[in-house]
Amino acid sequence: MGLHPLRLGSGCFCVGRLSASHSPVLMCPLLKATMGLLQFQAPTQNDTMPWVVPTTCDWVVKFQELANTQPEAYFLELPHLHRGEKGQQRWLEEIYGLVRLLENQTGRKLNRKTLLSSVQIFMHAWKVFGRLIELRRKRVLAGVWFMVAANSFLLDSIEIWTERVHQMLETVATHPPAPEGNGVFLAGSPIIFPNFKLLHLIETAGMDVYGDDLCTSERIWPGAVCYEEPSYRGIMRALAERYHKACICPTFADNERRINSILNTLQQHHIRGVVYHVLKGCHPFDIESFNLEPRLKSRGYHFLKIETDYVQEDSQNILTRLEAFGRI
Amino acid sequence: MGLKVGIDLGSTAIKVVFVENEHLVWKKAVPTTPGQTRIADHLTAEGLWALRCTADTLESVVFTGYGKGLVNGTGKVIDEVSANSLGAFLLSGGKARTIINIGGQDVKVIRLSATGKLLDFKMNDKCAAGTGRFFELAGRILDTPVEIFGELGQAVADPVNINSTCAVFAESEIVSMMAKGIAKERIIQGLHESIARRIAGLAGGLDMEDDFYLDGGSANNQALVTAIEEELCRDVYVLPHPQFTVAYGAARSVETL
Repeated sequence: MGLHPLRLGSGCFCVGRLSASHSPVLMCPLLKATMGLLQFQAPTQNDTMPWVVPTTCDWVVKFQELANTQPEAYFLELPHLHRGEKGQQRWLEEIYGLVRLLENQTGRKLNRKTLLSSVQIFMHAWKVFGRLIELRRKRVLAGVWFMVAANSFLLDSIEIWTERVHQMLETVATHPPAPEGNGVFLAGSPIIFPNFKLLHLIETAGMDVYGDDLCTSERIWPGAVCYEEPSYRGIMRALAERYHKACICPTFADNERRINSILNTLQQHHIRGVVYHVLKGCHPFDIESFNLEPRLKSRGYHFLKIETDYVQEDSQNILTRLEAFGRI
Repeated sequence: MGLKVGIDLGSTAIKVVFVENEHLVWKKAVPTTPGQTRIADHLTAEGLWALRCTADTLESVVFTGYGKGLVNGTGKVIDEVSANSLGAFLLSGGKARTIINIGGQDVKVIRLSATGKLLDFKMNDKCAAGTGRFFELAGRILDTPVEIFGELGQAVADPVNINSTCAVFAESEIVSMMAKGIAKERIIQGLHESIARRIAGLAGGLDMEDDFYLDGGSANNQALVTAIEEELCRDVYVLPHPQFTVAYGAARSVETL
């Protein structure tokens, strides 16, 4: 349809302060910063385009009400039970609703051919993303640099991102891997540029992130969209399933796959511990940590929960914990 | 045999110990003020003078604590959780399995294996409730030295209930109680119980095992020890010089670093 999805979301403490006077104190810092950013600098690409907001958590649901900016948000109502047919059908209806909205906005019609073409473009991006992950696993790419590349996803046209990351990988792939060190898995609330505090502290403590399941990083990479028939409806169903049924965000109530996915990565890549990041006020991840911790520990993995926000004042406290964690 | 020096650059006090073989032969603590490394140098010189030794008898110097990052290449560094684990394990004769440390601005619960290996730990985030700083704050409001909190709290049969888990709100709660004319002894014991509950909450996720040891400067407060014992339903032991456990562990860490 000639549109590019752009991700809204900020990890900037300074702009977060702009929204402090009209938002709850314990509000998710990511959304607080995003609100501040929208006040500071409105989206520039196309101001008439709606914000598409999947209702993942309560903060997101109330975001429009707090932000009070134009254009109004278009809510994609996310079924929080996603393994059953009912939830999947409801999600598919939401996707068709979004298509209708975009068709009305652009005056263009989505068809099978453009849909297939778009799937192909994203397939190239996933392929590059897969290579990015592989190089991190091989310690050729440090955790922070991986996160920089992953965070730039959906900040510009997907073709440009794919091409630039591909160029970067061509260069980086020739570098020798770093010596095998103290690798950890990073799970929990999203980490968004420029707030790489936790990543820097992990590296300062002598560890490196070998894998993660953050929705701003590795979890962007859901893999191929598999359709049974290349018809318009067949591709739409496959897309809906890929981004809903296969998603392991803790916002879902039926989410056993998430723990298995984390355990698989830990086992496959010989990672011995999980640093679990909770943004203050991020309830789905906070709640999940109480289930995840005993299950990981019972299988012999170490677990460290870090609850923080975008301020720097707690860095020394976090570093102390990370240093000790690295010595367990 | 040379002297091993452990320097704990804590948030409220700088502690220096000298260890000869495994024996703690000299120790001193001073309040933390700007110029921590310079103070540490002075204390080291003071220790050498007291022991009638010269600098060439120093076998090693190891820094730990919040200020350890200020040290540039003049000694080894170790994180305070590991130093605490080692110090408490060695000073307890290998008996410690769970350590509760009340530091100047953090509270830690540490689990050790039978060989003294650090197995797991929990530590508060940036909130100061339940820490040494919290005691200092309460001492100022109540106009009472923290050193006599234990003595005042022990005789109280009906402590007040302090609910706030935030140091700032707890301060307001204490001020309100004083305004109502509640005796400060009851407030102090209420604080002890509040801290004990916080520690129990922190330790809740750990697979705890006897023997329990409490260290940090607050461990000298017997009323607090009793409150923690009541809350955890376990005996809690205190080492002879609880404020110096971390510095001692740092000094001995050269044997394992």
